[in-house]
Amino acid sequence: MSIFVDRDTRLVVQGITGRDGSFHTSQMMEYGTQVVAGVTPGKGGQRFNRTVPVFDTVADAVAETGANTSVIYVPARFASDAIYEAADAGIELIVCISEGVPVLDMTRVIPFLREKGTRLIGPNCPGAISPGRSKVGIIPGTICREGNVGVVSRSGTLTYEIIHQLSGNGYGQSTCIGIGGDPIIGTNFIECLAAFEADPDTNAIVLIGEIGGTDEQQAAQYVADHVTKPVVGFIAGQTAPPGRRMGHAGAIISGSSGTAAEKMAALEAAGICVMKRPADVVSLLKERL
Amino acid sequence: MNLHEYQARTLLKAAGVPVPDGEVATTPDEVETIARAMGGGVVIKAQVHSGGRGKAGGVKLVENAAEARAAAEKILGMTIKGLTVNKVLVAPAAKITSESYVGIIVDRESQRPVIMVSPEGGVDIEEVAAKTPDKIFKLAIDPRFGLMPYQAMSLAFKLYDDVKQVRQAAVVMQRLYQAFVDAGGSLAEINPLITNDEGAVLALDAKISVDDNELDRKPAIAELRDLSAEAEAEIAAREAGLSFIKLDGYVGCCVNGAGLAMATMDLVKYYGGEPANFLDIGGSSNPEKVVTALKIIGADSNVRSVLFNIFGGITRCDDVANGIVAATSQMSFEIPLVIRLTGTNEKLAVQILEEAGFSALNDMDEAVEKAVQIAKEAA
Repeated sequence: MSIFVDRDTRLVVQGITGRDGSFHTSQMMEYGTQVVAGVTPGKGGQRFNRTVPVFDTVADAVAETGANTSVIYVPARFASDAIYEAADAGIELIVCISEGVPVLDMTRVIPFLREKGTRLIGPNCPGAISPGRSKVGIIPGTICREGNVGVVSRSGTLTYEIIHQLSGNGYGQSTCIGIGGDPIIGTNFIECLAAFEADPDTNAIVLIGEIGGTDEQQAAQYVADHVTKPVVGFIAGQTAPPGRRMGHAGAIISGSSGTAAEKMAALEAAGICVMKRPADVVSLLKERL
Repeated sequence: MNLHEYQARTLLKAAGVPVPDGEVATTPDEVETIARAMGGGVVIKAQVHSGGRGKAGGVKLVENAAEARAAAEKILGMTIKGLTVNKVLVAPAAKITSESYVGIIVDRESQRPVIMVSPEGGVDIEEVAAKTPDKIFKLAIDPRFGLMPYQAMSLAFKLYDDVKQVRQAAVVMQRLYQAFVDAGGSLAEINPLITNDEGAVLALDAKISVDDNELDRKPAIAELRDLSAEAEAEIAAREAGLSFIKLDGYVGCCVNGAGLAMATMDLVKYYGGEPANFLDIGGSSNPEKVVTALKIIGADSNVRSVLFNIFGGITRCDDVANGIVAATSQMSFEIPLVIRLTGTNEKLAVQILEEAGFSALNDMDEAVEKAVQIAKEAA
């Protein structure tokens, strides 16, 4: 078991013929993901790498291949349209990798997805990987190992760093998910925590947050109320100055709220072990397991 | 991206919000001329991207053209929170009978635009929120329908008793929302929204911040960027596709990914050092980006060591290595480098670096500790 992506994931890649889309499609196929279709308008009828059929629309791809999950690599200005298209075609899980999607676009996307009952991960995220089963997105497969730690994070490369520490010390992962660094995202910490709590193959959870917003505080409250599995946390941005956007659109301290100190205190108050540095993830997990 | 008050006023005016006259000036001469034409009694406001302009002495109310000139001489060229004042807005002094607040932000929690109003205007709204939260009224807007007239009216009734003023304020709110959407805003604010001695509702101040991700599709808004209001290094970084923020420390940081960049800065602090900057070279690497990054970091005279922390995913370690070699051969780079690389094409990168006389580390903690130590020894 794992969460969100697994062996039954049948993936359609939106933007399969683009630079990023084609590179990562090859990587996902190499990893063993079932890539059943691609979409690039105007290139319907072609085949990607002589194997994966390309369609003009997501609806065609779903009708012909039974795709249930989509991953989006299109440029940011087309990303919200790609999300609407996938949801409209009946896709159950959409993973949007594209970075730079205007936040007002997302305010319109979210209620549409709620009505459709579609799950979105991202935008501006590295996607999800269930080691040994399936990967949807860009998390390097080589750093992951099969195992029982669930990882959920707002960041990309920082997640890789922590996965690298886990794998190198004998802690494999059930699923690793990057939920994205934007202010408005489809799937939040709490939804991932709930899924990990329910997943019989996950026996501990690593939560990686950063400055900005109050998602981590809400996640902490959720852990205190509903999560029985051990949780280890990290918050990036202790040295970040207020009022400046630290790369991610969502990573900004406004006034006195959204600071790392505030978030670390909230995690600790909820019984979550907080790492001082990424390398501590191993010793803290060892203590709790 | 933040807009200046005068730019935000222009956008609001175009959207039909009643805004008093006002002109922008860059010299005391211009200010004097404008003030005379306006009848003498004017307010002069520094145009910088900073709150607290009034407290810093950047806003002056004067009685006549001569006083206007004197005030302009003081305000033009002064610095407010590190920003130099190059422009002032000159507007006729308003006869204010009440001050309210109207603002729109994108709210992370409800995942919608939220409009907030308060009868306590003209002051820092965060203070009002902290001290008297019951005086702030909020409403989440469904962006598919916009701010509907009845919603705007219900909020306006919280501000005024006179139904004529309620109607005027409701229209202001709807037009503010339209201006916010049209500009691709992350924030739009009128503080204060006033009533004057004739009973009219007017926007006396305006603030708009734009979502940077909107600028590609809104060229007219992108043109409003004031380069003179930004640090030179940050402009150079943005043009090269880097995300850079200068800090006060001495360990230069060059990292791929925003989360890892923040974690690296934190680790510098953990090992007793102070980071000199936040710098994210982004996902897809090309050697040119690394060259620009090293130039920007090297230009900061506080920097005593430069730490590379690269976790290769999309970013290829060999691209970063080639960039480091190219940069250090193009310019004489005196500051010691500590390089940590792992992930995609790591072996190739190590080989490239070793051939050029650099060594590379594999462990993040080891690299950060070393960079801090070198910087401290160089002090």
